[in-house]
Amino acid sequence: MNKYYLIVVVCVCAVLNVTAQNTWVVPQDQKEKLSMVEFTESMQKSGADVFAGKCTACHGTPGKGNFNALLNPSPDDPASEKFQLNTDGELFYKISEGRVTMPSFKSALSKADIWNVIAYVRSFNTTYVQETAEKIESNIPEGTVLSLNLDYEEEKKALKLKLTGTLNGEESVVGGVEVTLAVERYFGNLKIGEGKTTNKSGLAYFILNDEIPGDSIGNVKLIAQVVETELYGDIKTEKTLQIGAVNNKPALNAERAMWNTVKKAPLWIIFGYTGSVLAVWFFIFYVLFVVKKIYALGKEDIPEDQKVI
Amino acid sequence: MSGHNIKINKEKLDKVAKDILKPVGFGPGFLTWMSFLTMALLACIYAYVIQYQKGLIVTGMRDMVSWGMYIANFVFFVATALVGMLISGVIGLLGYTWIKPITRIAEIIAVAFAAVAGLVIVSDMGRPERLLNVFIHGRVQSPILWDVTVVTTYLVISTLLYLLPLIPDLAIARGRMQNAPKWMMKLYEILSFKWTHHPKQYKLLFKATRLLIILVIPTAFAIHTVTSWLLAVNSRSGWDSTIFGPYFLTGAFVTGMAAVIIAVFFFRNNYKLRDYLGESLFDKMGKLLEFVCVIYFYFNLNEFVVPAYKMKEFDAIHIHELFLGKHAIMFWFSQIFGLLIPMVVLLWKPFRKPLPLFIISLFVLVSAWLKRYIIVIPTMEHPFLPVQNLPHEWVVYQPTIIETAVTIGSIIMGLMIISVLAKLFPVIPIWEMAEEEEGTKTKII
Ligand code: HEC
Repeated sequence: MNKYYLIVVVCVCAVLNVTAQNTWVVPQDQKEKLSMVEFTESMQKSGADVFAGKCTACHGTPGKGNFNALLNPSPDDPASEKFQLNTDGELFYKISEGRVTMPSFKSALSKADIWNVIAYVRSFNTTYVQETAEKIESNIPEGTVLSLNLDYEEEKKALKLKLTGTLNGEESVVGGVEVTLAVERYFGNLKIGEGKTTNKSGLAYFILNDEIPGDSIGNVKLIAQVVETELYGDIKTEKTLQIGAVNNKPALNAERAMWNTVKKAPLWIIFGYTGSVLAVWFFIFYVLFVVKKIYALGKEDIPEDQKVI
Repeated sequence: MSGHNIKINKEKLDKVAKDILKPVGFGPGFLTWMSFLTMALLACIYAYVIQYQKGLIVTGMRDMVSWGMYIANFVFFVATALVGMLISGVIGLLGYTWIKPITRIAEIIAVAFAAVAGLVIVSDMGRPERLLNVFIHGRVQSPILWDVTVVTTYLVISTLLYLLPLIPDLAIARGRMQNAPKWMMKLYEILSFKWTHHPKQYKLLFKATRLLIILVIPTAFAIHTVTSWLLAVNSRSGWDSTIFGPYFLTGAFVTGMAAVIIAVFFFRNNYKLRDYLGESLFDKMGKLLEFVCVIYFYFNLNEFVVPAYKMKEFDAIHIHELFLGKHAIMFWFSQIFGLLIPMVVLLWKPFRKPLPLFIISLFVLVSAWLKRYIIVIPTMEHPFLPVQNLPHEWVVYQPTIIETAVTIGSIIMGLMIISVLAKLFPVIPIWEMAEEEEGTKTKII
């Protein structure tokens, strides 16, 4: 009896273990996370754009059920009940962190974008009622329009970010807000150091290593951003400054190369080809010259003792 | 070498010249044969006209398989043409005298196949009227330009190697062919370059020939190595091989030997030249074929066993298609009947007798053609980049009737060139056969 009891326990544990693997557990505090603002139609619209670009490949179009069924675990249709049973916080966490085949989007999408996608996904749920979190930041008056300014400060050899807010035509500096700075590269952006918080005068300084490669005259494109986009909106500024190292690398087709035009072919191949052709044809013409000599000899008399036949 | 004076035996010459000059000239049998070939060729030319008007869409080539039967056929022609180099160049330079009676036959094959190889390439062009652009806008970096260059050069050298040793023979023939047509005598007169059998003329002739047979070796190596590079400079499975040059070259020797044996067998019987193309000659040719088969087998072993052992992802697909897939029958036919069985049976003397050797060579030649098909097409069917949403008929290759007809046309053209040359001029070098001392051939080298 005891033996059977043990087997049952083992089996139950095994089953539970499997289900434990299948449920995606989200930490309690993340589960309760809420959007700061009420979803708007424009949020849904930009969410739809993000979804179309980043999610359709696996999740299909919401409500159509055309998700990629080959994946395991299944990605599911975002309009499905199972999907919609997630709290906003759970959706936010799952999209940010990802799991196995579901990619993590926390570096690819801004937080505002993730909220936009959630707004879009929720638009397929008719019974959904949204709860929002209160605004905790109180030192910025309601209706303030924030803007970020980016400059290079010669004497400090640093980049200066300045955050200002405008309310009723009056401008004021905004402190205590986290900002980041990045340099645009070929494939994605390179972050310069860690994020910094603006001081009382609304300023944050970033020391830029002047070894950052620029273009042929040292230009680099910089992108400054407010980190908490969900709180302040997508506040961003881009500027090209001549502060990088001059990069004079020639274009790929500037020098002699196998893939270039004939005139810019590698010298060894030009000489190798023409050299061999000339060498062989030199001898061919020499042979023709010998034939001409044979022809000329036809007029000569042959001494009797040298006759071949 | 330079101190040596050639001496030709008068009695021997009379007999040799009589025998060898007898089949020369365009008799009724030849005319029937040629009109048959001409008719068949006209049908093939008609197919080409359709292709010329409508473009390459009439072939089975599409987006994925853009090299088909034409390229395979081209490789086959180039390969066969190399035999001129093997016989006159390699074996000749080694000092073997038994090749004397077959040197000219080998050169005829070289000239015919090299000339047609050029035409085959043109048939693979959608806009042949732009052929000149290959030269005008050719890229020195491209093996295609190298190939065009080297095929032309090889054709010129082979033609010279054919014509030069013909000079004394034409002089000999002029005095002995009284009933030949006038134009033929005129042609003989022009091509014998006022040959008077002057010892100095012989010396110059030896010098020029020696130069050519040395020159033909690197040129022939280049022609087929470059042809192999057309494929091997790609990273596609089946072509991405470092031994493709020697693999092609040794394959060419096998093909060329088979072609020469077939031709020699034909001339032996139809031209009644049994005294000159004897059984011992066939025994030697059989041994040479065996030798090149063994080398070719060795390269095949490397070419297929090594990738098949590793079974790298893409190679595995390719090899599976060849060994067990849809190309398996062709692959195994060419490997077994064109290489393995000949290689084994040729070890026994009875199989090196004229008739068995002739039959074996037929199998070898047909297999050689199929082998080129196996080298070119299956690889094209498996590109690295995944191809999606293409219609099925763009993905697999199926040669069309027009394509096949044009290919047959090229073979007919090769046969016609050989036939004309073999009737226009003696097929065995008379003066070399009538030498006082047998060893002259060795001594000119
Ligand atoms: C590479 C394919 C892939 C892409 C792209 C992808 N997902 Fe997923 N997603 C999955 C898979 C697979 C799962 C199931 C993961 C699991 O259960 O472990 C999943 C799960 C989810 C879940 C949890 C669903 C639930 O019921 O618990 C959410 C939410 C989600 N994806 C949102 C998104 C969003 C939003 C995007 C686009 C920004 C996206 N996914 C892009 C594959 C993908």
